[in-house]
Amino acid sequence: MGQYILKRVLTFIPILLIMSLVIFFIIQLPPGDYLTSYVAGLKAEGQIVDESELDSLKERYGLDQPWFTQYFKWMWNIITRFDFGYSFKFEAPVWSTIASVLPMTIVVSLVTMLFNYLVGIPIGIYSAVHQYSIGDYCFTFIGFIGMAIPNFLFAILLMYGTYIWTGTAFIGLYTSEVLVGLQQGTMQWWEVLGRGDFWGRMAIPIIVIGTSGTCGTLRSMRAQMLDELGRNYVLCARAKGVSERRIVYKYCLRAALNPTVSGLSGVLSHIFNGSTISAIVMNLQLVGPMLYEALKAQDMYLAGTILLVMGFLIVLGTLLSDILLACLDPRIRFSGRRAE
Amino acid sequence: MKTRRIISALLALVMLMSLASFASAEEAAAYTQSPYLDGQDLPAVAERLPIASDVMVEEVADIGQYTDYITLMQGGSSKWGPGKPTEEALFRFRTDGTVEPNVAKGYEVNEDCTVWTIHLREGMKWSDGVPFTTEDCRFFYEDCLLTGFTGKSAWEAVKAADENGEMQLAKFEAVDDYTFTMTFASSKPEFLRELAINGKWFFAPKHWLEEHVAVYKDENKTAEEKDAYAQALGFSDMKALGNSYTYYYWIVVGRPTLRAWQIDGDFNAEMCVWKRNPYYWKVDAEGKQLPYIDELHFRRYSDDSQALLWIMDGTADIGSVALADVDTILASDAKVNLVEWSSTSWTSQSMQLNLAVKDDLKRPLFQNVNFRHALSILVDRAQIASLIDNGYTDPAQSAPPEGAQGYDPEWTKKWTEQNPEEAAALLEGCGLVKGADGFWAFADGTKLTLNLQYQNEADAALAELLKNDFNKAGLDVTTRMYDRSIMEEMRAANEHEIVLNYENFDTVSISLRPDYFVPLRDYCVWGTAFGLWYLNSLDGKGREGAVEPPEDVKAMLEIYTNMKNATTSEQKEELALQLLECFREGIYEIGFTSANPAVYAVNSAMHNFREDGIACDEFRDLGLANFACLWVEK
Amino acid sequence: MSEHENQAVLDKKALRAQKKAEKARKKEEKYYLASQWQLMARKLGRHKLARISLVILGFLYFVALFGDFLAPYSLTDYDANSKDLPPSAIHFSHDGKYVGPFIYRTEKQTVKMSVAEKSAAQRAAKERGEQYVPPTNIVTDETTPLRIRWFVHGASYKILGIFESDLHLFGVEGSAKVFLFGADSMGRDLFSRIILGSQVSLTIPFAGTMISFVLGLLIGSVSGYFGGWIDNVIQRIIEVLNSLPSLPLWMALSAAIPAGIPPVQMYLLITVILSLISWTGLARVVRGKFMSLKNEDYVMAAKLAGVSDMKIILKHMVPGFMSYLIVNLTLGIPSMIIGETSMSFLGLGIQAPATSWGVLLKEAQDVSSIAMHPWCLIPLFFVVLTVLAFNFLGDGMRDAADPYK
Repeated sequence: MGQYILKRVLTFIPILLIMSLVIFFIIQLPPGDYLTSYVAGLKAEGQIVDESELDSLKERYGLDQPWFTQYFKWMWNIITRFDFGYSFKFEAPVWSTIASVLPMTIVVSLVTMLFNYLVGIPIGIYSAVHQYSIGDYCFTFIGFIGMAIPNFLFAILLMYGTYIWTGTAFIGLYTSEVLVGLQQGTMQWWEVLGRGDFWGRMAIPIIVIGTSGTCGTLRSMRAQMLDELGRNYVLCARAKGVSERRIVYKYCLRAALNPTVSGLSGVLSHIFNGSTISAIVMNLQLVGPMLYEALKAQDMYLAGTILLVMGFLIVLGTLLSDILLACLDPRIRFSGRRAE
Repeated sequence: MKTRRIISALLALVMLMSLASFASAEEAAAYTQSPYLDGQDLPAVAERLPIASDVMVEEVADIGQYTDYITLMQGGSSKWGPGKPTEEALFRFRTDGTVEPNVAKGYEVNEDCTVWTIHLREGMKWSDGVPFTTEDCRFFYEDCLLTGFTGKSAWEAVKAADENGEMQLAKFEAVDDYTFTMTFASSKPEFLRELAINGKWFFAPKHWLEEHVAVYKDENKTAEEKDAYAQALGFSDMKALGNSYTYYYWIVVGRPTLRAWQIDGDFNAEMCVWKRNPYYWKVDAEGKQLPYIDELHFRRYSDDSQALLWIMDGTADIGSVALADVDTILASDAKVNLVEWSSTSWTSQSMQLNLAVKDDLKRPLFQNVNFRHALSILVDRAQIASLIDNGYTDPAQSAPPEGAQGYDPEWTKKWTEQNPEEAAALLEGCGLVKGADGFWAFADGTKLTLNLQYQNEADAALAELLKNDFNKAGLDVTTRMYDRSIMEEMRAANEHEIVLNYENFDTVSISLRPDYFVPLRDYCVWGTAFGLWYLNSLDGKGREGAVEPPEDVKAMLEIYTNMKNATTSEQKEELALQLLECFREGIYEIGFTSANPAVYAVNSAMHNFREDGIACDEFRDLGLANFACLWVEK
Repeated sequence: MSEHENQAVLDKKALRAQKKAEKARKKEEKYYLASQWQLMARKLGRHKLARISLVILGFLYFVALFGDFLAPYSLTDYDANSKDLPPSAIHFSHDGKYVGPFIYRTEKQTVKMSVAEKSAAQRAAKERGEQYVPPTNIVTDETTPLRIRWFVHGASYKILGIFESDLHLFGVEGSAKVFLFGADSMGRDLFSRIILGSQVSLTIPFAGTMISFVLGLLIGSVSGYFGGWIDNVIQRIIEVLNSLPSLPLWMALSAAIPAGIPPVQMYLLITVILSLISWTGLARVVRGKFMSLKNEDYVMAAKLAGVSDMKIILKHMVPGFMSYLIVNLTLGIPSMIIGETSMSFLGLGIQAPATSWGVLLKEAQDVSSIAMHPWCLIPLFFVVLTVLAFNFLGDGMRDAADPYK
């Protein structure tokens, strides 16, 4: 087991390096660079930028060098100084830019994920145990509907709905009062979590983002439960008179949770990134929309860092879920011991 | 009896006079401040303002009450969003295109317009209480702008040609603490208006910036050391620091300002609070220190629908409204008034052909005025006006709007009547032939394909309608949206062909702002490469990709050169009209509809928001609403 | 009743019973002899929603296939007089007489009113305490009924891309138009756009899933069958690809598509973009299945018998978990339909005037549209219907493919 983990950790580094190269290459792929998007932005504001200014800007951003030189410089600074560079668009170091939206990203991701599991897993179990009943159809229908409505439309329908019903559109997570408090430093982001108005507003992201994931959880849960319920050990348990409750929750559920655990590999990255399209529509300041903005503006160090961290978290998540799986599943656990 | 009457009359007169003098004396002392400032450790309000004769008194329609805050909206990352409404220029524009003193108290000019004397307000102070003097102006001009610390090239406004035709910078001279002069090598009749456009602010807080500029100018320090200094202050490098502190200075927290409000927190945050400047130098007729509004709250949105919902639910007090949303707002319960401002734009929907296009077959064709004529009369303008502009505009050619320099109703109707037969004859006259497949081709059989390019999603509709109209006439068309930055890259590389709604012609005065009209550098999209040719002809540097313009464009460039060097306002005016004539002849921007009005939704309890505004960049767009005088009735 | 008769009745009964038994036996025989596919189809029938879904999907694909014929109008029938018209009211009797389905000509006429004028009118209405209604200026001519006719001539198109035709299933007499689902902001028929949009929205995900299916199957089986360093390399590639979110890839590849290519090729390219990213998941599963199957005796036997690797993979191993693959395929399609709408939302999808459901939903994603012309949400119904149908079908297939039941 220890050796296995060591081996996996060692392959980590080359994968990360290759990944970073691919990421940087893709970011550079569209024509133009940050400067062209910056100049385009200035022009849209009616600004005038002349030749000498352009040249000095080019030099300032180091954009007159080929992309791999820029890549190696970036990587070198990351490895030697843990310096991820500077965001052109936000005019601040990349890390502090990301850090400004990270807490809320994690809160939103965790809450929506929790909702997803709390809804998906029970419905999955119910519809497996009561296969083809009216309840099965009704609940799966509800579970699927969130995925079937594209998030961007669902979000705006709910936002408009809140305006019609309450007179105030629930946009974003904060009321004006909270925002002023946050900006003036009289309130910290964790204090916000204790407010009712925050959770009221949170309802829309929970419904929109949370339900879009329930479909997957529900289905894998239902499928696994159905598989397990048909196994011989269940028959055996039934024959021995073990209560149905015990069979379902003690034996089947444990085995059926396995794929959900292996699905955790993407979870870390998801928590970091949040969602993009729904967040744009709902005005949530998360890492996802920030990545989209950075990609659009070709703010390569910001986009590159976000993607790199996401990639890192996916690889890390895969590793962790493999280890977790080994701990959860007695067969894997014991086969490992036997090998020793 | 008679004497008594006279005496009583005299007495009354004396009493009245003493009352009047008493009142005026009291007025001088009776400046009042917002309760927001009560309890703050500040000098008395009269001491914070300039001396009585130099205080700026704003004429407001409704004398106001102090208002705690209003909420405005900020989309995207444009720093001008809060920049324009809070801007204080030395001289500001009136809607008739003339300027009036603002930060400056007044000016004088000598006969031949070479020496401009500018007076400042005595006793005026920065937002931290430090006096504002001519030294702050000198510091900005000589130590920030001319040294490159600002990161901008010296503006045209401060340059004039000497006897050899070389451009020379104006000489700054401080007369005293409140008076300075700008001396030009030759006559500079439009200095104030140019300054109001380019160098809106001509001052910087020396006491606050001195230290940074000293590091910047320090010859003993290497570039790395300077950058390290900037990095310690949170900037990527020294240039970024300079640009931020002296150009985009209004979003720098803690930098002293002359504006009515000062930013207090991260500009990129979801909500950005601006707090009133306790040393603001304007009052209303009753002596109330302006602004009426204590705080501006700029709230960030990421999707246009959010802005609309905020207007409808009353979160936002002022917001810009798209024409398609006008009915939605009016039909809702929103407590807002819709205010319509006119615009200086020549058109709301346009198409510009790149006359310097790389394709050797298309270039002569695009340069042929008859081809542009044919395209113009193939388009169903009424359809565009009602489908895209929701019926708020009229079918029209791109032309100066009513009231603007060069306005001519005939011009707005030029080539606007849809006439496919005439267009076919014109196309044939251009040397095109209709192939067996029903599509127009060049004489050598190459099919003519018009590539329509645009950068805003909203323009997809225009592209569709144009494609439909052109296809019907047998012209092959492709349409494609490009991201803003990719379009910019294409424009710079002269790879664009026909662009839609790209920087539509829009200015108060073509002589003040010719950049988007005349190809005097790689700016104006209908002839980017001509601009390079023009620059080459000026300095002989031999920029790559330059294309020699046709005769009509050369003539236009010559008029422009003469206009730039003209020494009297009359001459400039005359040449500007000649320049406009060129545009009328050549229709370099094909317009389809008249200009859209700008519509703002304004809280219905808000006072003093002018209804007769003109939305244009030179007038600082929403800034023309004079935010310091706005207030909301509770 | 005589004995004889009794006997006859008994015989009959016995015969009937015999026949019944025979039938049951045959049925049983059929059941035991049935192929895997027949079994699946049989079990699929037990999942009611799956059955209904199959019918719905069949219908939708049929409509998409003959879309040009079924849609009364084309994508470029712009009309300034029909901007944002609500769904046409269909009448049957005129002046008390039955005429059959017909409509009255309805047009939107431009009333020139500036924003300032409208605003003033609204203020006046508010002062009177009335709710302001914006001037709708929709004029209906109720004097002449215009019959809806079957098989009318209209815009020309190619049936299945081959035969030229201008026949449409239905239309209205004269120049008036019928808008079953209302008109959009460019005055086009939303009903026609939904039908024509389905040609993209139903086929792109199908083709895209196919591509990623083939890629995943091929690469996964190679990886699983051969193992060793090939497996190692492929797994690392998958890991790197997996860690790339689709957003930057979409953006980079969409920017790389050149202008001026016809819509059909554009669809194809977008499909390829979508599917190039999504094969990795399937490849991993296929690899796992191969890993466990390759040590089975029958594979060993085939190997020893000298069967080629390719044949072993395709003939012997893939059928072993085909049912799983089919389910995967069915469930891949709805997520791609949603993916297509996301791309359209970001402006990376299909370019106008070609349309898709994603484009229609993007147009509906606007407060003014929802508030003032809610019929723009009708395409949402079709997206939800299709996605749900595929999901239930996939669920049904999974249940059917389960060999333990």
